[in-house]
Amino acid sequence: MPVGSTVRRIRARRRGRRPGVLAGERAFGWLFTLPALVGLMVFLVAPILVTAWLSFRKWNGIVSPFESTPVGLDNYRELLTEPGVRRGDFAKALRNNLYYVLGVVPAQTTLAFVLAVIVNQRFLRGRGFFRTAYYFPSITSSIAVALMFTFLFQVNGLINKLLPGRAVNWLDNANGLIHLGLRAVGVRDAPAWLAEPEVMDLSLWEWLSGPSVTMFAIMTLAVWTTTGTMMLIFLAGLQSINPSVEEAARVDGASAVQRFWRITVPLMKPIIFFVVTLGVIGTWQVFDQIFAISFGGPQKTTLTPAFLIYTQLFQNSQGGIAAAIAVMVLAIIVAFTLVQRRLTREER
Amino acid sequence: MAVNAPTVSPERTGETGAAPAGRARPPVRSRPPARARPGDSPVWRRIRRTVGYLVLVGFALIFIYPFVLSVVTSFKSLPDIAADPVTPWAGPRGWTLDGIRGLQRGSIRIPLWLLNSVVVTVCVVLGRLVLCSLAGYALARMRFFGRTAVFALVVAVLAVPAIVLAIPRFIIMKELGILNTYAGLILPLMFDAFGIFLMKQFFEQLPAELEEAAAIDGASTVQVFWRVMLPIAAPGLIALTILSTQGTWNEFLHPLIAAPGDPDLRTLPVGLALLRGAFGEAQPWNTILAGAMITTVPMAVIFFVFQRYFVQGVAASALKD
Amino acid sequence: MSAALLATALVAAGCGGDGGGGSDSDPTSLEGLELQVMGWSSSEAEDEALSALIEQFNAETGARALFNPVPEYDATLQSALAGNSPPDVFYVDSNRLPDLADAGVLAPVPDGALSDPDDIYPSLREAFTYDGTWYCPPKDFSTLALVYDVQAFEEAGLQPPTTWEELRAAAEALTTDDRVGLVMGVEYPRWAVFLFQAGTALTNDEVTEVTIDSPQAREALEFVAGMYADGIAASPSQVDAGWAGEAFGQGKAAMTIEGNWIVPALAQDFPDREYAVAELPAGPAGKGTFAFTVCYGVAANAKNPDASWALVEYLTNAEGAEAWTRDFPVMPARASARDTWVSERPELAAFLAGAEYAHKWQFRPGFGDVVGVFDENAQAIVAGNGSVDELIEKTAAAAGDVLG
Repeated sequence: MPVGSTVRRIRARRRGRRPGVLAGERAFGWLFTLPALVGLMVFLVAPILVTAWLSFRKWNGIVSPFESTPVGLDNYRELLTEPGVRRGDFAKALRNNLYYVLGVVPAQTTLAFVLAVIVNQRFLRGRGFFRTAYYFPSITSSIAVALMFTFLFQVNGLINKLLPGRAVNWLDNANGLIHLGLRAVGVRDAPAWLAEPEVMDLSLWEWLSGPSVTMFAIMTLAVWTTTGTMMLIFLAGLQSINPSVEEAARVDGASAVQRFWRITVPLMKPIIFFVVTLGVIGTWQVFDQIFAISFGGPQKTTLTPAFLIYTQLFQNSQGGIAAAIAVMVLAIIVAFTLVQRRLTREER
Repeated sequence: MAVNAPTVSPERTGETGAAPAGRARPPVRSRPPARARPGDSPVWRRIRRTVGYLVLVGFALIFIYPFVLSVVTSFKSLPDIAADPVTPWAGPRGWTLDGIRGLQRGSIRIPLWLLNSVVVTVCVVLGRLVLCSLAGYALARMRFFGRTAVFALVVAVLAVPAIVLAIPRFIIMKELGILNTYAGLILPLMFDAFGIFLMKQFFEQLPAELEEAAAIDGASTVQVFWRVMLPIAAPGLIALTILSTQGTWNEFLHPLIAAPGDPDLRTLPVGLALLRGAFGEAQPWNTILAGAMITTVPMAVIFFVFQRYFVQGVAASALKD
Repeated sequence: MSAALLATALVAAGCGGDGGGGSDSDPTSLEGLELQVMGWSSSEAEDEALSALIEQFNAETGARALFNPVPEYDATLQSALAGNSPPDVFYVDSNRLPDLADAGVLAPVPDGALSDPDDIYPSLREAFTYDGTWYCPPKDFSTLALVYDVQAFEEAGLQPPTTWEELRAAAEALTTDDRVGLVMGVEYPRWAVFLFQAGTALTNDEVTEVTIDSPQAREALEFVAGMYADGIAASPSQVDAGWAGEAFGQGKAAMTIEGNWIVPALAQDFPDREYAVAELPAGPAGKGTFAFTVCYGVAANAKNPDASWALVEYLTNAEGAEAWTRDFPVMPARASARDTWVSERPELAAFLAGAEYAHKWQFRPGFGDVVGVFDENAQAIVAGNGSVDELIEKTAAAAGDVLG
């Protein structure tokens, strides 16, 4: 297959550089990295270590962290093993955010990639206009975005007018999408084997609710506002692809679709990895939209770990709990990233 | 698919020297010979193209409407905004400059905030360009002890929600004596894990042959980086510039924590946030959105200017086979 | 391990940094002394009034005090406190007082620092008293009252309701196809007024005992839930409004239960809506409402405690309190300023009347989770997938956990 061989050739060239070509690679590696590393250590790693340490302490977030008292694993216990409000809230936050990540990351990545490929076309008239337009939600005042969003999703709003059926109260609707789907096929109540077993104070049935209607509306807002940034990164990545590769494939008779899947996508792998990782990181820390629009409601279906951190630290004087949540968010993101890296590797 | 005779598409012709050498490339934008497929007849193409543009324009309108809305709303009266917040025209009370006037009250110091924002953004972006491209290049292309660990650290640093770091960061800045100073506003933002990660991925995506050739020709490592790799990494640097500018320009939490005690060191986002009252209800939306305009427009201009350099082939044309 | 090491290093570094506040000269002179009042921005008028008052203080004493409003107040203040660099004077919401007092970052009011403290409403002083210690004088306060649409009431031939039965009847009579009788936020700081009127609350006054499972509480909650269930009360979002005041201004509600802040909001956004304010209807146990208030706190480790208290005194004494509340609807915290305030705006007297029987918005540190459970279940009731039983059971359980 000519296309495959072209790609293989290119990729072999790109990845196969002999190590040690650069003079003094070992020393220069550190020399180049060190300035950034020192700063990261001071301004990010050190605060993170303090936070990790605080997750084992009782700290109200008001006095100095160094006046906190040790509590061992209590904070983690409260969040993971002890029945109660905190564990229930944390479970809800995890569930809500998981659905958020699974919905937003694929959607924004795909949409951004498609838009980037389109606005990268030479023949496209008004390219600058389209690029800027798609980037606009990333820079427009979040207030204006929220205003417009609220309007669109109101009971008497445009979305309900466009959709058939009964008007939906998008902004205040705690029903899970999966539950609603099941209801549509006649399953109204949880079967016993789902209603009974509980994991962290939430029944399996509640875990499987899907994102609430309100969360779903916020997810569409997130896709809308972040796509522009992701598109920009893809656009920059597409620049680094040598057009002669595509040209060669075209000559070999590959269709546009084939060229996209067999040339563009494989050559963009480092950038796709970056955008997906960035998406996972950003979505697991979603805070701004929740803060501006739903404040965790209705019925805690838009509660997220980052929002819980905020309320525990700045409204509830539970800095230790907030730190423990932050550490667990870190662990989740690292786990997601590792899995994702494994997946992209295997595909190669 | 049927392998037809090689065709040269209009979008490729006569623009870059990137096509395979020796192939005839007519320098005019002529339509290629129609292929045998029915979907490729000129009429079909035109219809497809028109529909395509309509879809693109439709999308663009959705994406740009909030901005239009914020421009319009800043000239509307508050009762009209309350009555009908999303129409792009004035209500019964007509257009007004009340929103703009709201920006002129005593505690609002737009010129100072603007200056602070510009100073901070310029310094941070310049710093990031240097630090991130150096570190990104090393992580992408050099084999050295601890490389994987450093990269893991860079990603891990991104994975902690910033809000929880506010207090430890405040304490560190206090110990360094940079609270309520420009250094405190700038330095911590210059070290950016996101930018390092971005540049690493971009350098990784670049082909290796130029680098090898230069190294074999006896160029030093610094020369290879500066003369060879940095120029072809231009798209990545442009992306980093746009994203860093946008990120720093809109950064809210850091300047708030770094200079809480000195109103003279407020940046635009922190200052403009003061326009919103405490009760979250009787908000002067026209003034808030007029203020927001001051932050949005410079970003839009910067993006529009820089995106013009994203023309496929500009970077790659340096790499002719 | 490394975290502990780093922490030790930072502590060691921190010990060297402090000390020497620069008050070597005559401690009673304020000449040239820089003082900062950190707070949040409330409204243009309010910020400017406070700045003017502080300017006046500067003119009289030679100090260089400054009002520094910051956005995202809690995060900013807590960073400053935890970093041992507190502002000289700062706003403290009554709801946050227990947390700050418990953490030991607030200085108690020194004896004799404030003139005529008995003039301050006892309920407001009490809102800033924790475990028997009085920490700070209130800046002003607001209460919840019944705001009603005058035209709608006239058309229906109704008088403002004074009992639960009348409230229900009025809500029923005023509900039409495009208007709901009562629109009210679905959260504890609104619903609790009915608990007060039934003679109970989420906990007892000392926050030592759970009372949300009392028969009185059940009666109150069933009364509220009943109005939502019957469609004569609604949440703001059910009528496409961001908050109850907006629904009221747009004419989608004939009545709402809101505080003083609704006055400037309506004047600004809905100048044509004709409204009046009445005291909240009485329940089986009489009248009850919420008071929301903020005080001027001074840090326990303040650099210039004397000067800070002098400024606080200036802002909250009888003249200060009156000057401060002259131009907007928040109310003076001193009884002596009461008559002037009411005589200038008799139409808002109902808000001030609430001061007599208002409850404070305050629990104990860590109680936010419990209020969260209440709100979650109240939202479920309004959405039609919850019940009063469930609300009581879950809130009581959560409160029991926190109170131990």
